[in-house]
Amino acid sequence: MPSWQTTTASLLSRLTVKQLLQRDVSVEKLRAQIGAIERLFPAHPPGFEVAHDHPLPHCDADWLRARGARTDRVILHFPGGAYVVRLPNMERAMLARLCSAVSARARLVHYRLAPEHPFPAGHDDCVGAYRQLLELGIRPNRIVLSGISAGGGMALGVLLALRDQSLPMPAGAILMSPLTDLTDPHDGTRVTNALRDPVLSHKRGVEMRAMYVGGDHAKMVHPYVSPAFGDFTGLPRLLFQAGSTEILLDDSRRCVERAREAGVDAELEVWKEAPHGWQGLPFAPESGRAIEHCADFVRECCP
Amino acid sequence: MSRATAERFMQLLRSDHAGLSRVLREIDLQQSRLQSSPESARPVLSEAMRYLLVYQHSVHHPREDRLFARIRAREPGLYRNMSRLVREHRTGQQRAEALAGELARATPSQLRGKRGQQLARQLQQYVQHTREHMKREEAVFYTGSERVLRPSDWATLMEGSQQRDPAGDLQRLAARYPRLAERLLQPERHVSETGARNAPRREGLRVCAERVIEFYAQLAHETIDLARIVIRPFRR
Repeated sequence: MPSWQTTTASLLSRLTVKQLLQRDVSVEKLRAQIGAIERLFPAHPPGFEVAHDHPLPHCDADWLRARGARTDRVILHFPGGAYVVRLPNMERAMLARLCSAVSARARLVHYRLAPEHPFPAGHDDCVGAYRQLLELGIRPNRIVLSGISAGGGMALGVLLALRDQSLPMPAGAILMSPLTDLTDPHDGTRVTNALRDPVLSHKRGVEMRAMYVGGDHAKMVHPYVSPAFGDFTGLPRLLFQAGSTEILLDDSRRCVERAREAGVDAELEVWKEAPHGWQGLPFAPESGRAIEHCADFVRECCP
Repeated sequence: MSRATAERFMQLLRSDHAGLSRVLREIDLQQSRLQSSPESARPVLSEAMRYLLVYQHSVHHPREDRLFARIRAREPGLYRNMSRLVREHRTGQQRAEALAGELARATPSQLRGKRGQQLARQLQQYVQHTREHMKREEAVFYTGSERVLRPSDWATLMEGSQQRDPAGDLQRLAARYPRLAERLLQPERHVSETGARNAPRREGLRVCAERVIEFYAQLAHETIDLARIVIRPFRR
């Protein structure tokens, strides 16, 4: 059984977030209500400085550095939010914990969101952010990509694009409960975990995912949009983390299977009854452990 | 030449940390299964502890201690931050030996009970301490050993550093620690809370409770929506 903190968070989420996500509300209302969670997190994580140097052409991006820390490891992070909403304070707080656990600095990319900017706008922003790190002289073997939820799918899509553009690969990637298939398959954990998942519901999933591709359903099978359909040959080491009751669990399983078939060192950690995005809950012991595992993985890839 | 030697030596230490991190992650994973599945968790944990004692405590830490001793000789001021690390090498080894002994001595029924719970907690603490220790060491690696030491120091340090971390190559690891290597090669690994036990009946009740909550939460939200629709004309 999970800790009481995680159990309470799951219960509250089941009563509020999950209900909101399956109701017919506008994107503005969704952003406002999900955005209310932001009040729980400080804009600047304690002990860290948030800098905005090296802006990207089409979107904002932050540097997150622990004060006084000297390191050459960089975590390039893509936030979640179904490509429609964002929770920057929550993502910063989570990244700060990861950075302090592994002595790294982080680059958080606030890529453009749908429906205002459908694919490939956000994807291009993220590929551009990686290119910028290389232009700044950061060696690819000192960079680890990470992403949570839709950001995890984005990270995989970016890796496929980097490989296709013959750019040097980063040292590894951490995919936290990634959304890797936008075609909404009606099988596996999308069905079997539909009632057990305390956060996500696929009732409005199709509609929200259609926003990302600007209503062009044919794009949903594009590997940069749904990496589960991609060829993983040439990708670096991958660590997936997902909760056992998540509807997105099979998204990770399918990618690990494809990656290993392609000879990529990929592994999946299935966390018992952890809710979607639990890594971002600073008060939950499971979150602390999951972040420590991510930190171990960064050290393994970027010794 | 000296710069290349320095880089090679520091890379060696960092690779050791990479292997150690991989094994620590596995120990953390297995300690949470120790009470529920001692038969499968114990052999992996025993091999992991043996790897720590045979390589990390016997090869890697003496390698670091030699580096710290050289730094002490060149710049005693910088060494002040490192004396704690040297002490932690000794206490870490003692703790690892004690844990390996405890693991070997406990019976499966003891591991399912309080002793297993205590042991799991101690393993978790050991993992935490080791991670913190590595972080402090990395801060030292990044702060100037390359600036302080001379070419002759690096050459001497490299001379006694032939052995490589078996965790860096899973095939080599498998030859000496087969169960640990087998676990590290698994595509999917399950993580539970420390001390979690298999309780199917309790889990069944939990699923039922979730369904009831889900149903009433939906009902409550639909009622609120309906109330809003009914009230709307009166509010105008």
